[in-house]
Amino acid sequence: MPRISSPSITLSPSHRDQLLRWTLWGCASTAGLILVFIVVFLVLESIPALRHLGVSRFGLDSSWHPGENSYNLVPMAMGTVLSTLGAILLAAPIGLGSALFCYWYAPPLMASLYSRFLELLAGIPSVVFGFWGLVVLVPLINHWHPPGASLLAGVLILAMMILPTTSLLAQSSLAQVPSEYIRGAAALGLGQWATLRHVVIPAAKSGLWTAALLATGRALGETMAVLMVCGNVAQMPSTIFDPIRTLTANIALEMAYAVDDHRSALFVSGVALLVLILILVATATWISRTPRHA
Amino acid sequence: MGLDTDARDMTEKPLTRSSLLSSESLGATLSTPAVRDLLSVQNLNVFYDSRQALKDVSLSITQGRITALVGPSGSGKTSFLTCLNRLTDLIPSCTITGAIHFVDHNVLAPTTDVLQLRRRIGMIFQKPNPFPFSIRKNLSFPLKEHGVNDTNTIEALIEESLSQVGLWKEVRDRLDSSALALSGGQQQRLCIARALMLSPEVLLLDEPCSALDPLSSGVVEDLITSLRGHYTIVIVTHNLAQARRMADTVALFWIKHGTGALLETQPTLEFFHNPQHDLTKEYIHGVRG
Amino acid sequence: MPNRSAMQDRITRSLAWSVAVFLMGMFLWILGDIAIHGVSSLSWEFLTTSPKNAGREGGIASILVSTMLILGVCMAVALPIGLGAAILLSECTHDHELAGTLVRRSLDVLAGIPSIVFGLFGNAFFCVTLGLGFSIVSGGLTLACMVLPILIRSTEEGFRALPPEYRLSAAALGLSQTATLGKLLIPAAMPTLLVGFILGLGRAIAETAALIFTSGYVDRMPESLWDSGRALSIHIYDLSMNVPGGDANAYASALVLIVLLLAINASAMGIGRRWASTRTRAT
Repeated sequence: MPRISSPSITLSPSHRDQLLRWTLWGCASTAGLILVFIVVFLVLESIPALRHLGVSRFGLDSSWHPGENSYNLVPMAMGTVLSTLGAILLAAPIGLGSALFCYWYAPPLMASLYSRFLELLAGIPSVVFGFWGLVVLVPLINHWHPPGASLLAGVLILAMMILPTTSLLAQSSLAQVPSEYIRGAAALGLGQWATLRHVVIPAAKSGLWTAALLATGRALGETMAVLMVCGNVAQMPSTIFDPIRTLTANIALEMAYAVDDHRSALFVSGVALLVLILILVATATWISRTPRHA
Repeated sequence: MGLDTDARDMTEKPLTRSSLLSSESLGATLSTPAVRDLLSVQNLNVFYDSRQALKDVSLSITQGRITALVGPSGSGKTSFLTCLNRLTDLIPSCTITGAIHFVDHNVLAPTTDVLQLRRRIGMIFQKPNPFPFSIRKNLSFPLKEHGVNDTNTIEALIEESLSQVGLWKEVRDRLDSSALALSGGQQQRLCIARALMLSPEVLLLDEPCSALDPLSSGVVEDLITSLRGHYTIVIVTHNLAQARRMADTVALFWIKHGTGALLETQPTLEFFHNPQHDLTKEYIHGVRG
Repeated sequence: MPNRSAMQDRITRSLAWSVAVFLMGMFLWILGDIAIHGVSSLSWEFLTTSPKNAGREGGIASILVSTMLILGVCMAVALPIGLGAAILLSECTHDHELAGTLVRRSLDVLAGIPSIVFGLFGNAFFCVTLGLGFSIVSGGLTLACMVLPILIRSTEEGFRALPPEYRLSAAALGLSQTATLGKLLIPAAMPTLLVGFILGLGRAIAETAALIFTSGYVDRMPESLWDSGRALSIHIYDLSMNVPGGDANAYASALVLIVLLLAINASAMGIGRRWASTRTRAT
């Protein structure tokens, strides 16, 4: 006897139901089209700069000085890449450690409180992190090595910002490891660390990579916090104490008054950012969908 | 067109069934010699995507009687039942060929007003499923949606329906409490009362007792039997003894070559004492199915 | 061998605990710092007077009003569209699987886009193309785009969690699709819908980059939705970066923002818990 599956809209003669169906489709289409609109508008706004300036100038001009017709995005791209790299290099191991704590070592009550706290932290606005970084972290770094507002500050703040989500995502991947694996390891006489290292973490590998990729995507797209602590000098950093500017901060700072080619150039950097993040997210999705080893 | 003309009739019919419940009409219904076929099905085929679930079924349902559909799992009984009130419309992969006539109306015609059809042909499911409302709202909500707004009529009907299913005394003091707090048997009786609120002519019941404990099951079974004559009842059941107790006519569905089909239809006594097919004999004696 | 294993276990155990303690400490330091510094500038006056002297003095009344208005526009647009889309995705995609999948994928991608890109889009589309300029409406609409994926995801889950028997019984009783949805399914799914709404609100209120060049910078009390308005998050940014001596009020504003977020989170958890416990009881 076939079970009646989830229902769908029937061919109801009622006009009301017909109207309802149209309205619902309208809503869904609007929601679905937003992405299309975003891509279209971003590309449209980028075209003037690409046409007038050509792509190579974004990499070969002497510096980023739109006022002097100089549009080199590379220093800012570097700023973005370095700050993100630094952040994920810090956040990944710490996040994994935090996830292991929650998953394995913490007593149940503490584990749930800890997770709740992390969830809360994941919702703290970036502007608050940036603000704290500005008034506490930057002066601290300045004490150690001026000027304070630097790549280092950016890396540290970004790492702090992506830690809660990284930890939570990693934890849920660990939680999905079948308990038979762990029992099997225990039966073989493996200690805790050995079990974690050789059984649990490899089994959760794809989930952990996904978590890392998504966190990287988040760090790449972060604007306010880096804007507030990095010093905003559009130059290639030579040490971690040098101030930098990221692509995102660049857009945020200059968009309000940019016109014509300058504005269009900012859209170009926006498109570049979008493409980069989409690649990351797509890779993360692909990894999480690929079937795991037997 | 279709049932639209009857839709107007529906709203003008006096919405109290006390007249139906009076003994004269009871006797009159049962003793009317020329009892008509309320529902007639011809050459019904049901497909889910490309798989055929039911093949070439022809069956007539007599007014006022209880017809039991029996047979093993997968023989298409529920599919058959859900065709009668066009509930198959809700299954996207389902296609139906053949003809179903309810009185003079073509049930399967695309122009049929299904909402009115389902008002006249009510359905009770295996698992009791009251809405997450109070008892009162469970009963009044469908009625209000069909256009009856007068509070007095509604209250009167609530009392009638609950009395008919034997719940009135049990719940009269807590009509505004949640229906989900009732026991399984009570919930099923509430679902029957909810269907009765719409003054249907036919009741389709899909194994109404199988999710209930034996005690509640007995109560619901007695209730259904008491509705004989006032309503035309088609009941799917796995329980042969129940069919024997309740039904006037028994129809046996069987699986032939992977598809459901109607094997044999007989008045109850003949079905159990003088079955025509060997398979029927074996089924009755519990050898197969 | 056993000694080495036990030693490794001890090391990893202390490492894990240290990480946890370190993290907790770090975040408590941040929150504590803001709370301590913010409390001293916080007062009823602060909440009810508008900023004076570029925000160094006075309060955040106009800021709060602007924030509420922006959120209001955001939700007024996102809720109906989100509800409609979610209902469609959960109830009606059997016949149109491709379209449903496309919409869902599109929303998944949307959820990963950084806020600055939304800001660019909002500026290009709402402010320039639609001619709305720097206004509360532009900001609200941009936020609505950001919040939609969250709303839809949560609402769709809420509808999928409803027992399919509801729809079957409603159909068997001859109820129209509209009545079934409006009077049975939506009320039954209401707790999940509320939770989704609140989560969306939490995301929206934390937003800064998307608003910087859509809703504007003006810190006056807005007189209409078409006025430019400054949201709380932007006020914190401005006070800390552009206004020397603005730190004190920035701390207080940050505290207000965090408290609002905590309240939003708490109500989401509260509703979620109440719903779980009243699953078997209903009005």
